Amino acid sequence: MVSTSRAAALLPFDVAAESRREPPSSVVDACRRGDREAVAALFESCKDRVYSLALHLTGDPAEAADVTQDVFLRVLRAIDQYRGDARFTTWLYRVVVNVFLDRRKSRRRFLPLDEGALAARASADPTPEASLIHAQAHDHVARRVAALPVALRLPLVLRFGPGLSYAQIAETLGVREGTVASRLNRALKRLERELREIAP
Amino acid sequence: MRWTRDGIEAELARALAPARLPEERAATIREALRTADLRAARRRRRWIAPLAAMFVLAPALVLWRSAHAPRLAPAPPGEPAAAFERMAVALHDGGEDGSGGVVLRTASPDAARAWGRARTGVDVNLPAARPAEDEGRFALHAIAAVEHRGRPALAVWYEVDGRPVTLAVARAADVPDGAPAWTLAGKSVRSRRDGGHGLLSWTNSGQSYVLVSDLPGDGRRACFVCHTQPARRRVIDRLAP
Repeated sequence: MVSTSRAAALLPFDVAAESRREPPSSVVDACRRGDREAVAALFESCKDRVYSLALHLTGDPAEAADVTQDVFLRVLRAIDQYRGDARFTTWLYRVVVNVFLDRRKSRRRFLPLDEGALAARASADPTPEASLIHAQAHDHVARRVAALPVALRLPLVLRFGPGLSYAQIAETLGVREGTVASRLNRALKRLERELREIAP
Repeated sequence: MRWTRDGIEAELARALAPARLPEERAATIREALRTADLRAARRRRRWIAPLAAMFVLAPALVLWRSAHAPRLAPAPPGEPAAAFERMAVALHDGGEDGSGGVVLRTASPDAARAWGRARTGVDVNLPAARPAEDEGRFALHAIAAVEHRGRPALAVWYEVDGRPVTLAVARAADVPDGAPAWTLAGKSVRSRRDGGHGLLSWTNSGQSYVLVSDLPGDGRRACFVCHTQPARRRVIDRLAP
């Protein structure tokens, strides 16, 4: 079993906590009634975790921002379909995954992390986000994750990004827990092998 | 040593750390959410399930209806013919000259149909094209605008295999003692003999029909006057109580 406590321990406490905090059920209920102020509050509460997941799935900040917009528009229109039988964030992550897969299918290509392109973008954009991407450009692990097949990348990112449990990942992806465990194991073995070949 | 499983997991946690949505994009998304039309999407979604159900059910219903052939319903012995049936027999015996109505003598099914609809508002779907097997066997002679109980009706005279066939048609509302109307639950064609002729009566799509003929058996082959499709003719041939 892969532990998420290690992941949480490596992160600043407030960011890690923020990524796990459920939006209040009153806000979700108000959104279902069409309350636009509640929708705005939900966006503020969840925008960074949605963007993070989108970024780690797509490997591209611009694409991740587009995914984020599509996610919230889809949430806005479909929130009355959230039945409350699962955590709201689990449902939200399912929407992120679906938007990512839909966009990927329609474009029929994946934008891998390209070190040269990212470096050029980073040098032109002095924002803190660019610094993060610049660092990632030299991050073997991030590049290897971005190059994984989608079926292996999804459970890996959900496990080590928002720190979902196996059960939550299974519910998000619509597969069995055993499948999640198997794919995570395969993803980690593949990363291990590839990273050793690059930088033993 | 770095790329052990523990090392990779630690690097994964760092590489996949939470990120912040750039503020300029956040502002764009806030505006998009503020102006998005919630109600249109939800109105469209309310119709998706019923529409999807219709697309699934409609072909099934069509198949069911076409497969559900009418049943032949012989009239009970001794039951008198209905008034409209008696009128059809009279029209058959008297021919177009004895109909008492306004007659159009024509061999053109299209002309007969258009004329009859214009005169009476009653429609009779006479096929303009016939299969090769009908060559020389089916001949339209005339159509007449007649009255049944003061209400408009049509009479059509054919000859099939050299024998007279007469079709009488009226609005179902004007034939209170007509054959039971066809429904999803069941379809029947009443058959009887009257005046030495075979009669077939039915009510469908708001009109009542009586087909009078001297063809063999119950005269069901007279139905081929209007029905030319092989599949439909097979259904007619298999009509049974």
